[in-house]
Amino acid sequence: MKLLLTALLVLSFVVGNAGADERARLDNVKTEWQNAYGAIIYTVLAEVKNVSAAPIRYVKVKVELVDKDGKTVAERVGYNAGAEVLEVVVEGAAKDPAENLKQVKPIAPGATDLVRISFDKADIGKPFRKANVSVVEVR
Amino acid sequence: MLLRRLYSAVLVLLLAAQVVGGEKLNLNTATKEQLVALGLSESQALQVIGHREKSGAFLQVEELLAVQQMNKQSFEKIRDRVTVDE
Repeated sequence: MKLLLTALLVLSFVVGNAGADERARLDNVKTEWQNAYGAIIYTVLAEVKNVSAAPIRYVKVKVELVDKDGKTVAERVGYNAGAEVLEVVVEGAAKDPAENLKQVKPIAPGATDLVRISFDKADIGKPFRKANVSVVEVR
Repeated sequence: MLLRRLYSAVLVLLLAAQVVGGEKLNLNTATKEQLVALGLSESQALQVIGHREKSGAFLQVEELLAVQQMNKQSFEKIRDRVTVDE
């Protein structure tokens, strides 16, 4: 019975991760609180590595801030530094997404790029325990 | 005067005993005296309270690092003895 439960647990883990894109991997995830002239900012920093054999145009990353009960209190999606132009808030970004894609610097096989996703404290609102960081899209 | 000092010393000892006793101090309700009893300097304690009043309740213990005058050393000294949970 114990063996069966263990097998099911392992299987559910494998299935649960099967959908994750394995072309990019997140490393060295760090978080920090900063006081930027009175504005309190929570930032998640990570390295994204292209672990595939082909160049990657961009990696979309999601950060979920989770409270002590496992409930998400805030979430945000961002791109690797070379593809930040894809974010709506970036100044100078073209209105046509295809135009923005041309400005993206691809990540070569084996190379890494930085990901930086920040939250204004006012946008979080509730206490949280940890930040779950995951790759949601690779192109 | 002596009585007042004695009273303050007893208060600090009681607060310290509370912290040592395993009960975590809530950063969102802590008084200056409690923060000092924890090991912060008086000016750091005032900065913590000022930060709370200006930016709202602490959302994470690590937010202490965004408080003016708070260094990593002071933070490490108290991080396991404070909480933000209600």
